[in-house]
Amino acid sequence: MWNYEKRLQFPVNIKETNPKLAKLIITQFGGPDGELMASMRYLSQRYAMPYKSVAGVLTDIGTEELAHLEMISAMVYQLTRNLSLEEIQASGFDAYYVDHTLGIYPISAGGASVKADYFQSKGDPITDLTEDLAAEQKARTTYDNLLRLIKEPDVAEPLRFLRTREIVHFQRFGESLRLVQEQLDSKNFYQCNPAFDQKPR
Amino acid sequence: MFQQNQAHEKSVLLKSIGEVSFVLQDLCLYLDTHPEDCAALDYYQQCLAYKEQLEEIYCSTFGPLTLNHIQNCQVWSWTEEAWPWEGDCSCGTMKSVYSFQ
Repeated sequence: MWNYEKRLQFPVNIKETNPKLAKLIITQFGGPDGELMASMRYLSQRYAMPYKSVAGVLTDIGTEELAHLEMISAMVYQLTRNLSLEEIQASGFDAYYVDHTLGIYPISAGGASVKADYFQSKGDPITDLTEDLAAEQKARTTYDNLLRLIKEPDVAEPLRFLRTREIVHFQRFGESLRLVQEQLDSKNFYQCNPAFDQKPR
Repeated sequence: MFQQNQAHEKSVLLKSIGEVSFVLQDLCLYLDTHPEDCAALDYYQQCLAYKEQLEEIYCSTFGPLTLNHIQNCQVWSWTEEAWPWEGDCSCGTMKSVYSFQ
């Protein structure tokens, strides 16, 4: 069950509109390595995770990613607030505007709608955690790429916060994988899938 | 002048709530994989108590941050104050010089 706190995890106060930046930043909402599918990945994987502490990590990081997609959406919203038609046309934001006006919709920087294909929930703890480690690095690289292009301080600051969180999440998934391996046969981790085999009926 | 002071007090309180909440979030992730760390557990309790204190003050003055903090019986205060994605009052009101390139 989820509760909502009426505040952003990290403040977003962007003074100037900039639809060109909005088109790039929106990728961390609906793109392949964005916060929305990161959240769905972890929240989906937690059910089959047979270790309570790791199910906790998946639940808590999955929940934090919802707060992150909220921040990204707030950034896109402020970067495109009250745009005129001239500004929309001049910045190349017109294609998005035609389909969504100034509504916030999950797409990538390239314009592809978000897809569940961006994540897997494989029902195998080692596989799922390995995917999670990769996901956090992909997200980190995306923030690195955005930060090379974006110098405005009120835009860069929340992005830098989000980038740091990806690194912390990577750390936590690494610890989770270690915890799982400690529960398994040290001579062969792949002897069984603890989420499927040898389950009591 | 009074409004400026109010706005300042609001943003200072909200910043403190954000900071202690962040500590709680990071501690939570740590405790998920280190559930027996007593020092961390103690610190979590302290931060939680501090957050609750701050939230009480904030919510009784500036409106609810959660549905558990609704105090106003005359008006549905949950939707009264601005939503957090609005930012402060000057956000997105200045036109970027880059918008026209």
